[in-house]
Amino acid sequence: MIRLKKPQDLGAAILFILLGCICLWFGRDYRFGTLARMGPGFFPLTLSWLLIGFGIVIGGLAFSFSEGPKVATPNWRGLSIVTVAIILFGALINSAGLLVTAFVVPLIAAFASTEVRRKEALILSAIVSIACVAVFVYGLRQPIPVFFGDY
Amino acid sequence: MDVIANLTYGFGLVFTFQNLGFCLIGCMLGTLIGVLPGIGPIATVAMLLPATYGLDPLSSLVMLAGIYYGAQYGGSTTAILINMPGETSSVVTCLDGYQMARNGRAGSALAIAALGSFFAGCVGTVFIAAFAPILAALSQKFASPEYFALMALGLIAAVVMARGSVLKALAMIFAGLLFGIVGTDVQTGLARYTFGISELWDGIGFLPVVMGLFGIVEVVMNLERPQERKLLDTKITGLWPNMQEFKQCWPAVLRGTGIGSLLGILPGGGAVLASFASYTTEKRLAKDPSRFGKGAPEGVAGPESANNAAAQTSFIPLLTLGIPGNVMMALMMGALIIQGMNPGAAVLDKRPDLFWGIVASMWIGNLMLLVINLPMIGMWVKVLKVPYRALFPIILVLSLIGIYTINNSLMDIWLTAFFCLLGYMFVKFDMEPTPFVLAFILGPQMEDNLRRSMTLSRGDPMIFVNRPITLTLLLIAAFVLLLVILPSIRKKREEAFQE
Repeated sequence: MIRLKKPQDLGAAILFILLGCICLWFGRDYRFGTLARMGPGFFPLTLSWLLIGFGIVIGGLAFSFSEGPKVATPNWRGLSIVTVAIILFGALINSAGLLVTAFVVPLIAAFASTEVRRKEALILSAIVSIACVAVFVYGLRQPIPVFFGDY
Repeated sequence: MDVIANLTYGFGLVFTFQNLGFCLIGCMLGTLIGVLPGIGPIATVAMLLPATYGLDPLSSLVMLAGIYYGAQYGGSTTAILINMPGETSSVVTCLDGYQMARNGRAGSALAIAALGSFFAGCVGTVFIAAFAPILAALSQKFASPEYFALMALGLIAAVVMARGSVLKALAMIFAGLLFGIVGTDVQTGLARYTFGISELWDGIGFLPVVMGLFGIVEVVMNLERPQERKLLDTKITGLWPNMQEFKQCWPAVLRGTGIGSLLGILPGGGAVLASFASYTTEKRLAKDPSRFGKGAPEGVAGPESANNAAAQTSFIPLLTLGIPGNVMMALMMGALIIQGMNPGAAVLDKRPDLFWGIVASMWIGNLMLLVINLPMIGMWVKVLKVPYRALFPIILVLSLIGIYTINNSLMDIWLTAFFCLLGYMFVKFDMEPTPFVLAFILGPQMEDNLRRSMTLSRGDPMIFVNRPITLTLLLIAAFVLLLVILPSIRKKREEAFQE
């Protein structure tokens, strides 16, 4: 009976094959050229095929030979909150300015940890926000919008 | 002597009051962030990189050197005091360093690490001054086929150093090269894989990739691990090693420096290999190997020296060939490019001031570390006590501001989020990010050199065989790859990684 022995390798293989296929599809119009006159498609398309090939082999081997470690359960809370915090930074920095952004982002991010303490996070974020404006805008003179409408 | 004349020239440029000040600030910032548990030197340097942008090239390089060595030392400090290695090369330091700390010799272990590193740094600096010009002269003869072969060798070396499956590491290289291709094709002007986004015409920014894959994923992974921090409550007393420790250490420092200087030049993570090699050497040579793992000072002195010597000499391939051997060097390359200097053989010719300035600032960075940081160790220890839940939101927002300020580009922030998610999958599926990042950096150059070689030979792949240097490089790459694939050696490699 065929049994999945290395779930990690299967995951990796799927990722490789997916990436290879995406690059093949979006690169379908790039001229391949010849060895002597390589077109812009030569390198990426060859790599895509190699990636797919390797992906298939890695995926196939995941079903044979020795047992491998399981894929550890993802920490959805940590990953999603940190990602949301990053996206919030991008969404806020130009419109709301650094003062607000540097307050909201660490405050939201703090909840990625299960040990979060609300009051502590609030105070800390306020300090971070003021310190960031002081250091980056007034200290290092970086061109970052500070308040609403500065951009 | 050329070496001395050149070094004097470099020091003359760097030794200004202002530059020393920047080096000091860099060193302290580097240690401050580097000492935070769970933040490795790569993330530290990436995060602090923006602080150097506004300065003139030489000052910014001096400050960068300070940050770099500060971060390295910060990593060793966490390894010794709380048994938490910031990066693979300080894993070895944990073994005996933490045990020394438990035996009440924390101060001594920290001093040994700093002194050993300083000595190794001095030797490494001279090493660079002596060998870089030779290599640079040699590389003047290099044409596209040689560069292609050299990059192939570098990437294969990264595969060898990666733990886990060789197949996966190779696939990671292909993936990294593909990500490197995004942007405008130099030869035809065609925008490839840009999906109509104009910010991608110049390619994917380097900092979002490194910060996403290393810095931010590290933050997420630390949230997953239970935060067990066994900071020793004992006060750090006696910052100096006693006579006996001193006697035990100095031969280890010498050997470690030698091993590190040589291995550091190798592409693909010489520092890791060097510290492991030094530890095994010390253990073999010791009269009583059983002391190791229980707080043998040689177990700190050797690997720390080796680590630092390698960190120093790994600049050689970057500065002379323009090829970064590991992720840290890739970061340095990014920093140098931002300062308007494209690392490679031409730097030594065209901008000798920058080249020798960098070499001199490395030495100053090392010196700063010893005279300023070591006495301030008590303060760094206090930083260690800040709980992680309060630290990581600050780290996150500082990283994001750093990434944003390079180009004031929102695209870089979206990319960071993307690479954070991708990097998380890499961790979960046990895929090594290092070959990916190196391939990503080298991607455009590698394609360019391949195309030029093929145009040169009118499509005859034999060009890679007919040129002796190219053939040698490719044969070494093939040989090394064969070594890891062969089962018997593979087993040994796994053992080495376990140790």
